[in-house]
Amino acid sequence: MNFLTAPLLQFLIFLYTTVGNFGLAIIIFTLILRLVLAPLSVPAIKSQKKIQSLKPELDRLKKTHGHDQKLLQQEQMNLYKKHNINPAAGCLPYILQFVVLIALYQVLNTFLTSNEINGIVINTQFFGMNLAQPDGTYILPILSGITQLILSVMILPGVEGHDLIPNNAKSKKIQQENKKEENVQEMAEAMQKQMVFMMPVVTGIAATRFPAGLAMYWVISTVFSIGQQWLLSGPGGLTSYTKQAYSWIRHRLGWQAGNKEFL
Amino acid sequence: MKTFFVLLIRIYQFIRPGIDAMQKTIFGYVPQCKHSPTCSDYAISCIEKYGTMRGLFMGLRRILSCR
Repeated sequence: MNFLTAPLLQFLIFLYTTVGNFGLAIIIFTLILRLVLAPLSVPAIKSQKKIQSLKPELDRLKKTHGHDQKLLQQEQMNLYKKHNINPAAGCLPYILQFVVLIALYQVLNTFLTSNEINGIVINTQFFGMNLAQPDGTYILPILSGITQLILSVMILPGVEGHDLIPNNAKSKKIQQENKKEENVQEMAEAMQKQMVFMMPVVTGIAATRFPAGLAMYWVISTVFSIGQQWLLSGPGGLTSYTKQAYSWIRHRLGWQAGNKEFL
Repeated sequence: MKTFFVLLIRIYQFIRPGIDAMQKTIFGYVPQCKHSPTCSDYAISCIEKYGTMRGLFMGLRRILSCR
């Protein structure tokens, strides 16, 4: 792990000594990280958007070839190829990124909690806040929760796109298998939806415990992700969810108003 | 033994969306896998079908075949 964290920490210290401000150094560090990652994230978000738009066709493929996994995968690949999508990244990048994620956390934590690194004294004040201590004002925790909610809702797949193709496969066995596949998919979707509301709460609570600098890093990253997602893929699930929330509130108010008229 | 490993994979499946969300937040995207069903689902069905050792081996082999 040291081979990863040491250069990152060095870079952070370099930024700190150049800008002379602790909070600014973290902000610039986050922005540079995201700019470096842009060549990876931009195509990934774009292809994800394309795959989402292909969902009806993918569902149809699942219905017809659900019983034959190999054929299904081949047909999926053909569909992707036809639309110039390369979805395959594999799990190695995923694991690598997870390691980097932990390394980043460690680096920031060391940077935040040590008063002095390599003889350089670090001043952790930023806008009247001590970034080495948890944020007592709850501004950063609330911000991190709200931004996390926005991002999660934006990327929520299958809000209204539930497939309406009837399950009319010929043999009973295929029908049953389709049903099973559907159940698994529904469960995965339900779990994803649960996460949408779990994550902001967990993030918010965690942000009250961690040093404020870490919470700030989290908020900046989330805002950057929201902007990137919006630019490349649009508001996504945000539109339909705000509409739903709006109509729910209106319904509630309307009901109350109606009640008052009655009285 | 069998239920232990299946439970372990299930726990992983439960926290995976959380890890995904973290990756999405910090890096802006989540590397997607080409396999369907997912490796973890595949491993569970292999363990249930062929027993713990062979099932785990088959699951591992598929993870390693992924690039």
